[in-house]
Amino acid sequence: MGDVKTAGWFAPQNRKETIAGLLFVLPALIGFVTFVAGPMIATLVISLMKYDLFSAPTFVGLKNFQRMFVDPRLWKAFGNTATFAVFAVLGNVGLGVVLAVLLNRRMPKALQYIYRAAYFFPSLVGLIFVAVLWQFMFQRDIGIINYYLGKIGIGPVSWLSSPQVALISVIILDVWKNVGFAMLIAIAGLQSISTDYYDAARVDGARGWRTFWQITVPLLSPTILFLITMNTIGAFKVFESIVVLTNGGPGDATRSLVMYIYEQGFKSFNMGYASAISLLLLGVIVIITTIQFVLSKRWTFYE
Amino acid sequence: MGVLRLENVRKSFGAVPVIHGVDLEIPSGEFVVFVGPSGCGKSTLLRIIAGLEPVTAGQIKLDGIVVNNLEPAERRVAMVFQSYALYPHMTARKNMAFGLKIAGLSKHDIETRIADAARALQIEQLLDRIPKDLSGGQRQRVAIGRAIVREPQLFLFDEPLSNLDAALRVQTRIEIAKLHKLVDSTMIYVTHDQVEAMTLADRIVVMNSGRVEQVGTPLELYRQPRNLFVAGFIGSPMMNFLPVDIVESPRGRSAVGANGAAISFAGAPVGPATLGIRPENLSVAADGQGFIAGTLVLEEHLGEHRLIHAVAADGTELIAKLPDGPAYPADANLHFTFDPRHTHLFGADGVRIGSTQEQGTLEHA
Ligand SMILES: Nc1ncnc2c1ncn2[C@@H]1O[C@H](COP(=O)(O)OP(=O)(O)OP(=O)(O)O)[C@@H](O)[C@H]1O
Ligand SMILES: [Mg+2]
Repeated sequence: MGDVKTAGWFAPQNRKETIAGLLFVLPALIGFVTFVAGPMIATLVISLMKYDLFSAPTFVGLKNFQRMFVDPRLWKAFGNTATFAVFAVLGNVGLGVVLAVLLNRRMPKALQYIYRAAYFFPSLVGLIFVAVLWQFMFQRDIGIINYYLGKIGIGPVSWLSSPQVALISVIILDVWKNVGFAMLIAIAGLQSISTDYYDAARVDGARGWRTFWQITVPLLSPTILFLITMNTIGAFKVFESIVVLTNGGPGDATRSLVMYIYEQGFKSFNMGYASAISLLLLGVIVIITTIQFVLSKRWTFYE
Repeated sequence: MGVLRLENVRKSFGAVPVIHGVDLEIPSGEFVVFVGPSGCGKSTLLRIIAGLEPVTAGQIKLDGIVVNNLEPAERRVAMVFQSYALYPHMTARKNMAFGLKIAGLSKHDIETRIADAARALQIEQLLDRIPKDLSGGQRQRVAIGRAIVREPQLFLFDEPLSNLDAALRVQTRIEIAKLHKLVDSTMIYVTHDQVEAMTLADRIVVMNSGRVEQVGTPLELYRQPRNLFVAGFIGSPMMNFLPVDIVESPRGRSAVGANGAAISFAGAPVGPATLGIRPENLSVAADGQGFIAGTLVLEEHLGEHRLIHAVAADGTELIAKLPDGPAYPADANLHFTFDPRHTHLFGADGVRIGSTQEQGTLEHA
């Protein structure tokens, strides 16, 4: 243990250890090649082809990529996805952190567990039930939400059938379903912050929102960055939350990029074009997360 | 100003009582040290005074006004934490400015105060560093600086030196003493280091499991400990405790030692008692003389003096602090005597009865 090996990995004295090491990583390696590297390379190759799953693929060069520029449905889906991502991330991370702070205060243990479980519960519910539930909540004429809105004098909202409102409905559902997870991670982050800082802040006269913005948020910033990154990636890949609620409608009003990829690939059988859009999505995610990491140097703080 | 008064202060965490009714008055400008064994409630009492912990019962008064429901900032207290609790994302300067900004001071005033404190603490070059880039001693100074700039009427320190190495502790201790002369605010300082307590305090509050055992100047506690606990806690090495019987004798009430020597206590009740003698007041007598005999266990040479550890026939452990000299042979049978003016007598209930200084004499058989 610990002795520096100067000879190569496969030098006689190291060979045994190297082989053992490779055997240990082999299962993970096989998984990576089969389910990550393989499909990625395949996507790259297919994006340069015209391929309908039934006849042999033919090479078309960059044609699939050129087609993107003149496809208004793609840009509609792109816009929907970006809008969804911005608000879903704000909602999930913002509300998740606020809930975490509220539930991390001193209160009876039982109450604390009940609240935490209540907010986390939606993350555990199968999407089909979620869909049934929210379809019902969002009904225009007999829905619960409109019933209560009506009571305070707000006319019936077409939650699912109005192109302007449907995307909002989708975001509400997504936040309802996923905020509990962000909350849980944020609670874990909060609990690793020493209470001494809060005592010091109280002695300094800080209270409420000031403590939240000037003490909690900076000390929680690594957790917040993690949540933003994970939620952004998740939001750009949004699929089933929308499928179960609006299935992309009305029209293309709530269609996301992944839904459009699915439609192109498995309904219209434009495998080449679907692969090209997949690469676009990958590029967008890589660029955005890189930007987030670069910007985060200015506001995150690691102790 | 800054007169602090605690009246029957009690604190329980859930059903567990931790502070059992503390009464204490600290005049303005005094330096008071809380000492006591770990878990006795020193930090809890300090946090109650700070306003970080609500009391279960009792009153806290500052300058005659009940402050039970006031926030720490409203009580005008500043606190230096054991962990320093410097905000890790702020520079030293911002750490010091944080509370002042909240208090609504002008930019100019904030800068002046920070500059003054930084000069006094010699941390001027460190102001733009974040705590991570400071050494332990430097953080400590910034933490003290953060307290000073608020110009509080009450300074609270919770074991501020315990994370420093020995040399830095001594140095910082001296600086805290200087600081007290400089700012003349009331200071309350928690420690379990006796030397810190003895050297810094105007008065020491000795605590034991949530109660105040005695309050007094360092020398009062040293010379007239009110009970066995204080007698054992103040002074190092610890005071020797000899179980004795007070009997009626021709010379009056007295305790008779193993070698027939007797020490008389005019006012002491007949019955079992404890005789307390500090190690520095024990000396070795000629064979067959002295009050008590013991077998040598260990001799520790510390340069200018040595510590003789011995055990008496009844199992009582004895420590004597003697000027250094030639070592005794192993297992030597030693006879100890003492200056009768420096003994303490405690009754069966552990409460001080008196000392020979006041009422006793030692007579050899
Ligand atoms: N928040 C709390 N909840 C429950 N019990 C507590 C709490 N804080 C302190 N205690 C208990 O109160 C008692 C006194 O604690 P405190 O921290 O005041 O001791 P201390 O004298 O400062 O000890 P030390 O010298 O080790 O710092 C301990 O028994 C401790 O376990
Ligand atoms: Mg403590």
